[in-house]
Amino acid sequence: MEREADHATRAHVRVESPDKTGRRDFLTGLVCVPLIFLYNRNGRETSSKLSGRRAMFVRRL
Amino acid sequence: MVRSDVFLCELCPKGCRITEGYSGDCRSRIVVDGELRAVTYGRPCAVHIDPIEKKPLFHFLPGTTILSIATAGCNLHCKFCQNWTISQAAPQDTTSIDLPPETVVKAARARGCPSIAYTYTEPVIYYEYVLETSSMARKNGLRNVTVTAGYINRRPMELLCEVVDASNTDLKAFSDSFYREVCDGRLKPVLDGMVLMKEKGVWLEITNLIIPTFNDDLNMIRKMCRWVLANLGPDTPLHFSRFYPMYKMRNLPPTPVEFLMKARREALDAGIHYAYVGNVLGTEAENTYCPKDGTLLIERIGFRIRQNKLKDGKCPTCGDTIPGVWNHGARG
Repeated sequence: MEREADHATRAHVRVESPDKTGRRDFLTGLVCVPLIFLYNRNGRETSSKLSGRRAMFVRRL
Repeated sequence: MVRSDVFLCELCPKGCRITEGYSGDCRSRIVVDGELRAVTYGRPCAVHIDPIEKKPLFHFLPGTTILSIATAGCNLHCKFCQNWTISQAAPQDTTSIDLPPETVVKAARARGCPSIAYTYTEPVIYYEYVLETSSMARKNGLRNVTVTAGYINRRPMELLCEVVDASNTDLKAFSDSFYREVCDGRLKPVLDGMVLMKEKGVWLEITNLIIPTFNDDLNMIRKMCRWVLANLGPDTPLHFSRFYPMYKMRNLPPTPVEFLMKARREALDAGIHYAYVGNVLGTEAENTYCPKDGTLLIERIGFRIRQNKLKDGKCPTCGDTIPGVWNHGARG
């Protein structure tokens, strides 16, 4: 496994939000944090507001 | 006919059965409003530009940089995980940025990276993101690399091989009980996946992280090398990587360098042509030598290349072709 931050050489360089989405992140955070707090109190039960995209390789039983 | 509310995820051998509002074992595939969704799509929690030697890939575009991304979650739960803060976290517990596939490709091109790596956590669990970004990257002349545990079903792996150029796959131990007890997985799907990648022409390098008292067994390493020789061939580079105390294995010491050297010697003696030691600075085990005449071909220190003597991918002394992808011109 590749370590994200390498302790041996620290050769990696962090990229600062390549698409300059800081403002959008802030707004998303404002909306998402309360939702996460409300919906994520029972272990792996998660917020239904997370979106992403439709998963591949899935079958309805 | 009544439709079931249970979804079977057929992406990886875990085969999670998931109901509304819950995630699979990887935490990133969640049933939302009656469909299974890959919720980390376009939301990486780590974005870096790394030297490609850090993956590690030693026979693939040496000396280049690679845009590297990861999203939260993993379908394995290795007790020694070196990136557990993001791999063993739920997506909503990590900070992520909005980075759709086209922006990833644009960022790689803008920063002069000839390739993109899907790494740090487990690219299998953000499969759709990898697939679409890779496809777009290809169209823009970039190559794709997965750094993976290779715990995936055959059909999705076949599809992935169509857009991936190289992979560093973890072979965590040559023991099914190790996979079951330490990683929450199984060995066979990983071996099958590597054979499939090789068949499909993906450039493959293997990493074996050696953990004191768990898999530091020369007999097991010998068996692993024999399997690699028989199924993947002697030109598959093998990286023996040093363990550092992490996650649930903080009680163990780092792997002694002498043992890593012994493992490398075992691999070379078994007939593996290219065996390396990783996570250790300044040893000859970081260099590439010609397996025929011993000529030093690529000298490395850490992730830097000090000299590359290859001439058009050939040894300058005997003229033998050294397997790998050595230049980043148009894809062949």
